[in-house]
Amino acid sequence: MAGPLFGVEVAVTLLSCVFLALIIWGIVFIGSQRWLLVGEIVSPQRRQSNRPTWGFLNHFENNSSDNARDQAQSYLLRVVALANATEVGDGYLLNVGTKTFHVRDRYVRRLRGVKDAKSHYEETCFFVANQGMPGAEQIATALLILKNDPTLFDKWAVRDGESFKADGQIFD
Amino acid sequence: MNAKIVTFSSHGDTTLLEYDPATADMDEVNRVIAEYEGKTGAQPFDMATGERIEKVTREQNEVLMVHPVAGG
Repeated sequence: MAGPLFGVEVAVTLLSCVFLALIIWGIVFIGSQRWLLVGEIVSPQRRQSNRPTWGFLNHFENNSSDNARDQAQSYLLRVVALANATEVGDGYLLNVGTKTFHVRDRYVRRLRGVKDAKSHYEETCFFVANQGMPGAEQIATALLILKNDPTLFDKWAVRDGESFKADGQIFD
Repeated sequence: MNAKIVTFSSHGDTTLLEYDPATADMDEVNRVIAEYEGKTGAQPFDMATGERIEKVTREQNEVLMVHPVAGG
């Protein structure tokens, strides 16, 4: 009588051990995926090699893009302070010598300093060659460049579609 | 404290290079920057002053590589 009962007990114990091992493996594996994502936020260069393949981890990736937006906004605020720009409505006012620019998403308007400028343009659009850069970082880029060389406004306005480096040289 | 060379990218700011300014080979740092500029057109700005710089020195703790801008 004890033989079959003993066999059942052994089988149940073995199954319990296997089940427990699977649970522990699952926790450790998912935990390691999370740590990869934490590393990704700290060092964005590693993003592509550590992309999660499990759909239910997508919310971590969304958090990462929120983080990118926060970083971009943080850099914009630093650049605004460095350039002594002022936030107004939908953009930023930047004074450089006798010129005043209104920089907003993809557009720059020259509010003051048209008379002594190389072109009569009052507004131009701008874009950064680096595809997909957050809007806040594009504005920060334009503010930094204009603060250092306000004559680039005329180049952007006149030379449609050509990219200019911060020193005013054309970049092919 | 380490110094770093960063740039803006599609996923926020990206650190291109991190080094100890006290011991780093600054010629090597500037060589990496020149190589990056050659590929992307980005030029270095000192994030302490907001000014464009020709060469990175040990005094700069954070340098931002600013990409070219086009108009239209």
